Amino acid sequence: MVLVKAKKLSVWEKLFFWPLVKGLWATFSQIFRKKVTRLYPEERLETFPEMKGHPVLVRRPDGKPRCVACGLCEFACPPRAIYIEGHEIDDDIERAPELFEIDNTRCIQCGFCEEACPKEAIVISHRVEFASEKREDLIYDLETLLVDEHEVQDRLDYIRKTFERWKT
Amino acid sequence: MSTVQLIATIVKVLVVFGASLGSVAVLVYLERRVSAFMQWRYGPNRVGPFGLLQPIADLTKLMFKEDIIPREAYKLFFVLAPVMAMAPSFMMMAVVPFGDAIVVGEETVPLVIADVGMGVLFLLAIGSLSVYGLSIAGWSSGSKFSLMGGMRATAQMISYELTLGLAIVGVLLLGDSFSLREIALAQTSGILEWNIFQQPLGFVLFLIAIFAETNRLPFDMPEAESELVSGYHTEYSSMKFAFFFMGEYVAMVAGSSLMVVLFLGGWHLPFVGSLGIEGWLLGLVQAVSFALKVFVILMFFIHVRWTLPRFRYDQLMALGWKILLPLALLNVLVTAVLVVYGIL
Repeated sequence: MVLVKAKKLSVWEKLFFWPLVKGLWATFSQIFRKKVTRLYPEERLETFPEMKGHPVLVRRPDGKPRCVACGLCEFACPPRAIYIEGHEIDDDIERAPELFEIDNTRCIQCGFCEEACPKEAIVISHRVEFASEKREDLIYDLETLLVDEHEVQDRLDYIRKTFERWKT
Repeated sequence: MSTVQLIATIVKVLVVFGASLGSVAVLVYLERRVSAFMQWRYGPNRVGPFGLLQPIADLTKLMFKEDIIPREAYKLFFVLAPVMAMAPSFMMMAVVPFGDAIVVGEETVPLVIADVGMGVLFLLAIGSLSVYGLSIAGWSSGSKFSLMGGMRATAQMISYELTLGLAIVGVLLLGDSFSLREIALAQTSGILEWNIFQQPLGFVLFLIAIFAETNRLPFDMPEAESELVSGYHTEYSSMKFAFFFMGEYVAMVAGSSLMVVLFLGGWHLPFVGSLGIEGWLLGLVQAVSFALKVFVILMFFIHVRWTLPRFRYDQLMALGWKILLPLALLNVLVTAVLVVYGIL
C-alpha cells in the first residue's frame, strides 16, 4: 500500500488564481483554431473503392442491364431485400430481369449480392444519400438502379482485384 | 408629470424592454456560437447569414411545441412559476441608468426609467424575488429532480445574496448614496475613480456572487443537467420553458448592468470629455458605451461557463459561507475605516 499525502497548499495556491487564468486562456485560445466539423452538404467525404453505399445494377453499352436474372443475389441477400422476376429475351444473353427491386429499408449494404453475382451486374455503389419521407420511395426499381459502367468503374476494378486471389 | 416626461418615459420603457429581449436573442446565439468555437465546432450556422436568425427559429420552435402539464403537478403554481421567475428580471432593468441625462425642450430627461432613491436596495430586493419562481416551479412540478433543483436554488440564493449585498456596501460607502444614478455619477471624473479600482476585493466578491445569483456555471446547481436532469425546469416545455430561459438571460443582463453601474463607471467613457460632443449625441454615446461594457461582462459570463466545471454542492456552500462572507465583511470594515479617516 502506498500512502500519498496531499500537498499542503499555501494561501496563494488556495486562491487558484493562476489555474483560473490558465483555464480561461485555454478555452479562449481555441476560439480561432481550425474547426473539425465537416460542413456536410457543401463538403462531402471523398469516396474510395472500399466504400459501401447501396447496390446498383450496371448497364451494358447498349443500355440493357447486364443482369441475367439468375437469382443468386436474391438468394445471397441476408435481409432479403432483393426481389427479381426474370424473363427470356431475344438477345445474346437470353435472359433479363423484368422486375428488379431493392428494398432500401431492408438493405444492410453488406455487399453479398455483389460477391454472389457471376456477371458483375450488381455492384455496390458510393451512393449513400437516399433519405426519404415515405417508405415506398425507398423501394428502388430497375429504372432507378441502372447506372452506366463508368460510374462504378473504380468499384469494379476493386472487386476484380479482390476476387483475383480466388482464381486458380 | 409633463407631457414630455410622459412620452420620454414611455420611449425609455420601450427601449429598455426591447433591448433586454433583444439581448436575450443575441446572448443565446452568442452562447451557442462561442461555445462551439471553443470546442472546434461551428455552432448554429444554417439559419440566415452566419446563423444569425437562429434565435427566431428557436423561438418559433418553442412556441409551436406541445405544452405539457404533468399529472402530478400543482397546476396553478406550475403555470404561475415561469412568470414569477421572469418578471423580476425585467423589473430589475427599470432602475438601471444607462446614461446621464438629455435635455428635451426645457426639461431634463434622465436616461433611466425610474430614478429610485433606493435603487440598490430595490435591485437587491427584486433580484432575490426571482428565486420564488424557481423554488415554486421545483415544488409544483411534482418531480424529485425539480424539487431538488428548487431547493438548491433557494439555498444557493440565500448564501450568495449576503455576499452580494455586503460587496455592494463598500461601493455605497464610497458613493455616499443608494441611488444608482448618483453612484454612477460619482465615478465619472476619471477612469481611476471607477469602483473596480477603488474596491477591487468588493468587485471580485460581487462578480462571484452575481455568477451564483444568475445560476450560471460554475454555480448552476439549480439546473445541474448532469445530476438533476435539468433541475427546476425539468417538467416544463414549450413557452413556459422559454420564460425560464428568458428570465435567466435577462437576469444575466440585469446583473451585468448592475455590475457596470456599480463598479465599471456606468456610462462613463474615459476620453469622452475631450471629444467635445454634447446633447443628444452625448446621451447616445453614453448609452452605447454602457451597452458595450455590459456586452463585455456578458461575454465573460459565457467564457467562464465554458471553462469552469460545476462546483460540488458542499464546496459551493463552504465557499459562500466560509470564505466569501468573511471576506465581504472584512471589505466593508476596511472600507469603512478608510472612509472615516478620509483616505478614500
